[in-house]
Amino acid sequence: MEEYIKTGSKAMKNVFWIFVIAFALLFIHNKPKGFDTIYFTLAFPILIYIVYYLHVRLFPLGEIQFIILTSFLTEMGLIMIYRVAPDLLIKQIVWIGIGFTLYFISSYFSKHYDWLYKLKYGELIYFGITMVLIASPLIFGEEIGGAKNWLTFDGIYVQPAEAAKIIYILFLAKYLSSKREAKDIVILGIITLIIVGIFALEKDLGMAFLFYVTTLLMIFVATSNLLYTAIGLGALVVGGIISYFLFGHVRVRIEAWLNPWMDVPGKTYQIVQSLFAIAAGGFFGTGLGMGHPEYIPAVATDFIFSAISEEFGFLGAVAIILVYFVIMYRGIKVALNAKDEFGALVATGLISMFSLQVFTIIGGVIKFIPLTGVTLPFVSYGGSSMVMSFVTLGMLNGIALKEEQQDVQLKSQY
Amino acid sequence: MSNLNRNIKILFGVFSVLFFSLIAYLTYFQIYERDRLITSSYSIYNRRLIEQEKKILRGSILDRNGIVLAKSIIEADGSQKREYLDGPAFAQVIGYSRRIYQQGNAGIEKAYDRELLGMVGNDPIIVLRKLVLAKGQVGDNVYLTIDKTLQDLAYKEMEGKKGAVVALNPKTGEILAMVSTPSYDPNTLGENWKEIMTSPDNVVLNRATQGLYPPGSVFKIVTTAAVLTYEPELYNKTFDCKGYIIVDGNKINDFRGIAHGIEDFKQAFYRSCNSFFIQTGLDLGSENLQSMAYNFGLDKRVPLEIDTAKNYFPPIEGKVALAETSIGQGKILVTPLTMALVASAVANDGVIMKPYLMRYVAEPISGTVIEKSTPSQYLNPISKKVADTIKQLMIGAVNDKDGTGKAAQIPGITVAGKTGTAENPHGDPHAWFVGFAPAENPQIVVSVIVENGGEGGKVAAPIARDIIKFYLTK
Repeated sequence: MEEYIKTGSKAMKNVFWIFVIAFALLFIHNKPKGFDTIYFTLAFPILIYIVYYLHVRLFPLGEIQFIILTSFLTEMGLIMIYRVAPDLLIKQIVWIGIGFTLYFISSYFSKHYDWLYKLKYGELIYFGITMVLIASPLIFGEEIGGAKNWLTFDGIYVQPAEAAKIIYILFLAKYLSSKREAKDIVILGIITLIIVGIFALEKDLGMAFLFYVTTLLMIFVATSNLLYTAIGLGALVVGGIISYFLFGHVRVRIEAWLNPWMDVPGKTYQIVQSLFAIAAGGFFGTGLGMGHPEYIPAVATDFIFSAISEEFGFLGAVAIILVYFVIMYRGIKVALNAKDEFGALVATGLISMFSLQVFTIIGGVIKFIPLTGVTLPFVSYGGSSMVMSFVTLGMLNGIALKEEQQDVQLKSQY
Repeated sequence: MSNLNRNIKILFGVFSVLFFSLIAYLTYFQIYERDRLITSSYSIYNRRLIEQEKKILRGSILDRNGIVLAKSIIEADGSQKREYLDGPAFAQVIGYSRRIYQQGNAGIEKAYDRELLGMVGNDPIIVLRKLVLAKGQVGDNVYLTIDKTLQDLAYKEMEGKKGAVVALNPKTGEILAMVSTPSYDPNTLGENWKEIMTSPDNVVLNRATQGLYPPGSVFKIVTTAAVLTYEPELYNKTFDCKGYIIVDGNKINDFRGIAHGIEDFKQAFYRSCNSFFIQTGLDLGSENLQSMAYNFGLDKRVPLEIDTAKNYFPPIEGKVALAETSIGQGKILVTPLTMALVASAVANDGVIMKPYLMRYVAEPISGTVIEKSTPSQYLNPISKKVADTIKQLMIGAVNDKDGTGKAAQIPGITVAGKTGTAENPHGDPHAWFVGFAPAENPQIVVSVIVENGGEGGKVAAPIARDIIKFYLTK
């Protein structure tokens, strides 16, 4: 145990020093505009240390890796955001603070997740909330960057689909823990198609993809039925082909993926600029502050991975992927060790949604798969995604802790 | 529950594959796609290069001995100007930079764009040194394999003619000279862009690497290689040449219809007898001939830093096509560079070295070499034994009293070669000569084509002779 904490502290020290060195460099290169920026920058290392020690004290058996790894990821995000959009730095630090807080709250809530399972009309309630969340921008929303998936309250933009992801997982887990007959799966399939349809109307391809594939994976995990998975994958391909011919924006994405050179000044500008950035970075990167990630459009949000690739190189990019890999691994562990089926399904759903999102956006910006606009969790600029990513890991931590608690109870009986 | 856990483990496998496929793709991207992306013509949309170009004094291009061929100077208004010191002779090889003429780029300026901008060497030490020493303002210098004096001579020989010359070192693949005429003055490209680009003589085309011509009798080297490799007994046959041969009812004449009478393989090669080679080709069969042509890469694009055209060698169908192909006529089209490589296989014990134009790239301040070409094998179409036999035939073609290439003789130096007089639909035949010297220890291979020049032995061979002589005696 002591060894364990020692390793953790060491990792935190590395996270701390990376932050100090990077910001020292950045501030020399690009002088901070006001003292606010400096104060908030100083607050970040203090914040992560407080969070780290709180976690050790409050959840000695919790998933401390989540804290170390998210500290690193959010720090990489802050470094790049200060590079490309210094004005957003303070906001992002605030969002990280809120995110960590919600991590603890959701850990506590889901530590006793039985109530989530036993909730009367739970299925209906989760489903209802999901639908309201994802449909609301369609009615009240604003179109930003070609997709109508935002709500605005007094100048604060909220992406309700981020919250819907978690509620939808609860719905799926609840539904699949009791209903696994063929007709149940058919109903679930119809529900999924409705959700995908709503996202399609909002032109939010990324979310449509995440919800669809997560459902597919959950059905497989719950039913072990490969036929459903095969039908689902087949439908994905067929749906993809149909929407290629039906929807202009789908066609543009796929064509830009197949041939990024067809219209560089126009339709494929984004992906080509992203590739230029990654190419400029090479294996070792240009070095922090020495590249031009600001040439990439939407670089603080969707394309932040390309910016990291440019300045930190292939090695930095692989480091980021490996960090997500470890988070995914820990999430799977939580699912495997969960005390009951509901817990296992929730954990599976959460980590699947999370991992798929990481794969979708990284794969998209490196042109491995067609580009769909979703954020890179913990790194991209943006409040909704940041907060909900923390809730995701907080819930996983809670599910992990529940088991421990019961173990303690069991032991005390003897 | 156990099923559930098994499925979750499968899911872990799926995600592991997804994550590692990202890493694998990034690796592939950095190794294979990266350079292509940066050098591609689409990089005009890459603001990094444009910004850097503005700040950096573009590096120079020099010949193998360090003579400057192209350099950038800063004008009074702070803008950069590119000067081509040996303009027309090097126009197509060196090409031009899109960063100076926005419309496009070509040649060495295109192939080594990143080097000339000082963008290679992600090696942090080199980058740092540049920052400290030169404030990052000078690009790297590219040293070519070309010898300027030889290039100038070749250009002078070709002036007023249409065609191309390629000279290379058969042992390394280094290109020593590469000329294409008619040429243009790249220093006036800014003012005369449109005129130069649309000239009826196609002056921007590098005829040495992109001009496609029927090889004519030069191809008999390949036919001979096929005989020696696949049907060696044909080498000992004799044939009565009547000055024409009838194939499937079609009469194919010898050059000027001269009847050579009874001759053996050697005599037929020296005299470049068409009837003999057609009969030999028919005995050999299309499969053998085709397979040898492929061995020599006559259906491929020659790999080179600058653009090369894909050679054209369609499948031989029918007897007439086989007859025509045996003497290098018919549908085959090859570049002068390709025929230089065919001769280099004979000169270099059957091995064709990969041709290249860049000797090394060096940082201008410290002289540190950043990139260096190393010779490597491209093809190995024939054995050493076959190469030696063909070499003797090529020596005879130049030195025998009946040889068609006698004009290439140099006192004191044994030249080996083969002439070609390629019929074509555009008028007089193209004059070809490929050869190398000294035959005992070949130092230089030369390939010459003069479009519609007439007889290879009369027009192309003397040019090759002068180039070889200059190179070996200077």
